Amino acid sequence: MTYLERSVDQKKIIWFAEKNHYMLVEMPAFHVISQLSEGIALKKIAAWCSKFYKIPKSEANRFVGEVEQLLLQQPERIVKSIGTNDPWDSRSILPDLALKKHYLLPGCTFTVEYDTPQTEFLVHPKFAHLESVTSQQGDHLFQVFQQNEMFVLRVNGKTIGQWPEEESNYFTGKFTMELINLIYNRNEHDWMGVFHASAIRLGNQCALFLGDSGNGKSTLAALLMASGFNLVADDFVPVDAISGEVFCLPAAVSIKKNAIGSLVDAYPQLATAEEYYYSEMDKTVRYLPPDQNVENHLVSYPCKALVFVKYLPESGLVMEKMSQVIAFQNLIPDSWVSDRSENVNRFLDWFLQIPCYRLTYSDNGAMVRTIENLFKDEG
Amino acid sequence: MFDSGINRSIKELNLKINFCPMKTKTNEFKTKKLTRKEALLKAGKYAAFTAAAAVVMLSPKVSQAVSAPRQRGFGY
Repeated sequence: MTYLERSVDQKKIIWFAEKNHYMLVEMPAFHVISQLSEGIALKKIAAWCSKFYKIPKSEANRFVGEVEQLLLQQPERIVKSIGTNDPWDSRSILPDLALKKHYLLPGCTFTVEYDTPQTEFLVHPKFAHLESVTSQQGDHLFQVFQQNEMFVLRVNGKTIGQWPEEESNYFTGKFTMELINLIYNRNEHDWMGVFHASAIRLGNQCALFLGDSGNGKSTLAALLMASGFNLVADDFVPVDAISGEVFCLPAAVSIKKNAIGSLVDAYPQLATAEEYYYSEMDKTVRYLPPDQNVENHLVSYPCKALVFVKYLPESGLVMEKMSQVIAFQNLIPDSWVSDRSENVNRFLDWFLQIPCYRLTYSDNGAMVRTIENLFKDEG
Repeated sequence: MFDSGINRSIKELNLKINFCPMKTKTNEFKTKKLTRKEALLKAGKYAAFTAAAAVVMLSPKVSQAVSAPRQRGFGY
């Protein structure tokens, strides 16, 4: 049993390498786990517990048994969502990829071939502002299509994976990962993680705004962008493994229809922007591109705060420090973290040195001032 | 999650402690009465040992994902 551990608020975060799984435990449980990992017999550990903590042997036996059971209950490592184990057969005949679009990024161009408008719908809206009218093939070729009810992704002639329809968020996630790897000339494990957040910067430092979908992250990002902040990345925030810095992703911010009213003064273009309706979620969104006049492409920024956001009508504004134990519990299930032990090591150090906050707001003006102060105060 | 687990455990342990039989020199069992303060101190110590109930298990996403809806429709 290989694991990494860190102390946080008198508890332990433990990462188990074999299952890429994290646990938050009290110190006695950690001591038992560390002894179990050394192969020490249960009875011996229980005897140690009994003596060290001055508790009855029966209590120690029960406790050690419970901790061992917990370790056994860890979920198996899931691999299916990285694409199926039975990759699309490259000998198969490609479907007719009749829809072709070219996109222009700083440093490179890429072409995406789609089979149908439905497939295009999963990728194009976030990158529509980068579309180029050229007919020249880009530096890189992405091919996305559906076959046998699976979404298939091919990049530069190589099949990356295929995903069932209900996992289209992983399909689009992998598309975005491949894209940033090409933009920054990197591999997947050059990244510490990808976080479900909006990354906003002021000057040379950025903060991540996190929270479940529907909590107002993107609206908050747009409000901050209208007040002198710049977007670094939205929804898909890549963090470099070595430097721990947040990298730019020039994708557009999706704005829900019910938030457009509060943003249209700052962004008149939202009033006429193309509208996309997501039937299953009964959600209509329009896309707000990042400011393309700002030279922040291919640049990275250190992260100075993690802010967990919740829009709550009539709440005014409450910003408070958040315990790292609670922040960690909120962060992990919504994040992809590289499962390489050296990257997990870096991730744990990175996370533990960043202050975490909880922001509940309904007052947009107060929210902007509070975030401005956050950037000023924390220097 | 931690707090609720520990509080629950303390309640359980209070019960255990209050009725814990103690062996005497005469090899007879009789109940030792604890003061509230002693019980709480002891509960605090033992509570850590029911922390197994307070363990939080966390699995990160198995692959990079966006928050895009699982299925899309058309209406634009």
